[in-house]
Amino acid sequence: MSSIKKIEFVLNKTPVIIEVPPAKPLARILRYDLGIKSVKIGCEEGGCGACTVLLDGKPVPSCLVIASQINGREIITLEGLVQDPLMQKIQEYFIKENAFQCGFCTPGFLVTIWAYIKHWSSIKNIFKDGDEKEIFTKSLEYFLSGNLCRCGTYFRIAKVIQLILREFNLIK
Amino acid sequence: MSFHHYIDLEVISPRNLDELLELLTKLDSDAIIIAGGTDVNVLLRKGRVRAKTLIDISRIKELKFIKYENSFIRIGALTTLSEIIENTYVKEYLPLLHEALLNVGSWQIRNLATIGGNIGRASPTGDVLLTLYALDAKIKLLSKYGERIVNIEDLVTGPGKLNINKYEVIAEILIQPMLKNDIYYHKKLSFRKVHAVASVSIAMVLRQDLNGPCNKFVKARMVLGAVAPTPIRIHEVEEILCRELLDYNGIERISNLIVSKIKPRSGIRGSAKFRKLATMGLVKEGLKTILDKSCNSIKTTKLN
Repeated sequence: MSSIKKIEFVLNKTPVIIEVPPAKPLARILRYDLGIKSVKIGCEEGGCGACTVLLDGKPVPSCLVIASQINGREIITLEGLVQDPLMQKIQEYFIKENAFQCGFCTPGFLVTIWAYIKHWSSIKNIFKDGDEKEIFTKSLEYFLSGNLCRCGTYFRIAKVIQLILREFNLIK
Repeated sequence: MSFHHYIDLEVISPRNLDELLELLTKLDSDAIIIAGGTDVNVLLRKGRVRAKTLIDISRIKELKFIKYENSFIRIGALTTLSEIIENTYVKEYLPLLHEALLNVGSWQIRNLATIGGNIGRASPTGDVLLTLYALDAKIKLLSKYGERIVNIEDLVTGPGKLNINKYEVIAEILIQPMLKNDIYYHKKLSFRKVHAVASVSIAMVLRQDLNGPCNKFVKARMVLGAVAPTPIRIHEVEEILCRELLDYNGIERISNLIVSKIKPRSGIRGSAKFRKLATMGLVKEGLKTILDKSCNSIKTTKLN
């Protein structure tokens, strides 16, 4: 016997009402029910970051969020950020620096990086004093490690982030 | 492994604490509580946990807070790891917790995972549990019939097992702020540097005797992770650390003693032999780091 529940939430600034099993993972709802193709179904255990979305502004693996938990909350996927100037800047640098190969991990990375740059001042504060370069490298380890790239473009991705932070005068 | 594990699952989402406590008194045994869901969802999908009903407590706001009251830092069970890491109180007065939580999972995971969920999961390798043992945390359990406060060590009895009644819920974590003369060390060894489960881990807090030599300690807690069904304290070593002055010879002796006391199991994250040797290394490195820190800090204060 399966139960179906009505779930209301805001997806990319648009109110959405769906009827799904209440324990259905958000990643599957987004990709299979709502056709949000930036959300990739990867490991489905929160390890790879390919399904990263913003839940109330914070990046989360959408495979580990269930339908009942998103009731009344705000979800933003990469589709909701493409008009954002910061996202466009990140995409521009991704292309310029060849920061991807097969591209499967890219949407997840873009969302995480967008949030990382938006939260940069609070992320910086988390680390004890040290020189800026050290903090930057450390913060990448602790805040970008949730996204895997099997093609191994990590160094290019790190360079993209560094270039953008520099362009905004957030680091030297 | 099932890809449609969720089809038959019922979900009940209590809107507040009262509703939850009421609900817990009439639950049957095939219901489980889900907080952040970072672990439960994976276990369900892999078929390692079976349930008919999930109690989704993630939106109970009353269990989401960090405050300082009556000389305790009180953390609501549903506070996410990210919220705890970003908290300035915690960073200043519980640096060990701050550091240890930063080493848990990835940013995405820490944004969902809750401190109470980590306790409820009671994983022998859990980084949060290990730290709470080292900080002598007290856990407040709530039920319709009242509240009780227990030591974390008395609560956790085995992997995934808690000494708790069906109608009770982990409500908050109480920790005394660390003192300036508390010197700590925390490390986990894992296959990857970050975003990985510990093969072995260690957390220790030694309280320096302010009226004695720099290598004299009045209080010691040493906790080992992933070498037993729960994190374990080695009481005999803690007593030695408080009784004797710590020096390099003592560190050798203590690390040998610890290895003779633990009986780790072989598993996917390391053989029993590896876990013994790695623990020995961590104890040595930890005590040396603490000794260096405590004696150097005294020197600098004297120079000033």
